[in-house]
Amino acid sequence: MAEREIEELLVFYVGGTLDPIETARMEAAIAADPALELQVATLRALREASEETAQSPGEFGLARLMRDVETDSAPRAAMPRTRIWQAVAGIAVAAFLAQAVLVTQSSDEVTLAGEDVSGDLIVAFAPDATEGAIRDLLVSEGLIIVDGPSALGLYVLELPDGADPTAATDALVASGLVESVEDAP
Amino acid sequence: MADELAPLLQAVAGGDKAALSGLYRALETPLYKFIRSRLNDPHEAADLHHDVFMEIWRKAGSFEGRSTVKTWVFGIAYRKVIDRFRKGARTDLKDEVPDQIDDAPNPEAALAATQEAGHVRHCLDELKDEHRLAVTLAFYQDLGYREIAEIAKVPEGTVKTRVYHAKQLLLRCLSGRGVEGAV
Repeated sequence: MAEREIEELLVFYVGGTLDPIETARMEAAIAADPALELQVATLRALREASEETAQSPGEFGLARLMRDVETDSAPRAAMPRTRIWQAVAGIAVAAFLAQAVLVTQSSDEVTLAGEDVSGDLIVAFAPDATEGAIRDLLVSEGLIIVDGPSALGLYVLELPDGADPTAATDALVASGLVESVEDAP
Repeated sequence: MADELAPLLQAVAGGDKAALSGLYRALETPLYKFIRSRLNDPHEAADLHHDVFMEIWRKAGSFEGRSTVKTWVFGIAYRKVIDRFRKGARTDLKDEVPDQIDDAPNPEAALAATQEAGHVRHCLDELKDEHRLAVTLAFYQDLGYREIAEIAKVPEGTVKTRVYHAKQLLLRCLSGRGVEGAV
């Protein structure tokens, strides 16, 4: 392997994305050249040092996505014929679920208005609940945020098929991450 | 190796929102890191991140399986990042950084400089767009040069060259900061 080619593949070697033959050649070249070995050490340190700590949108980004997907009317890309049956099934499911949720406040009571609600539970997360903790909770219970936050900070959650709403409510309450849980009407 | 995300994307193409959630959870963090590495504004990055998943929702049916799902998704993000810069008519002063590096970096000084996150961030910021995008995908998203070539729609040799120059520029920049720090 030429020197320039080794240099070109060094980053990919550190990233572990080379095929086995390329990797073996790189390992042989690095073992024979202390300068390359030092470069590898530097690149590994660089990789570790720049591990991004930026907080991704997480479950709140997912909630936003689900809300916009519900209301999205853009034409969907054509699908191969073999997947048309899935589209038909998907449209049927979407038609069943595509219902607007409008959260309003009446007197001291929070009520859900609108014709139907595409969710099972309405929750308010505790102010100190972190996104990571909320994510872990939702993933462990198979819950999905399908709408929210409302003006009142409420989220609508959807249960997995066949899940017991009471058990899910108990799990949410026991987590200490929610301030309130109610069944969606 | 089977693409673990392909069944999810196939279900998304059929309008399955739970599959979209699964795909989101699998890819949202690396995708956000990639976008955030190029956009300094976290709100702008979050908006673009959202746009990528909306496009996945709308265009899942157009995925032809010629690449992995991850590559396809990062290709969408890559184009959106490029478009954002073009639409914003931003002047990228980093284009003035030369492609060819004459003086060899000092690896010891570069290694010392990696201990300071600020040095690393500064040197990454110094790279011109095409270098930074390539090295970010290669280094922090663990994508191979073949996948990056598909994402950026350039030949594999171009990707290798960009990543090579990015590496040299990064090491040279870090060398300078490592030497400065030692003085």
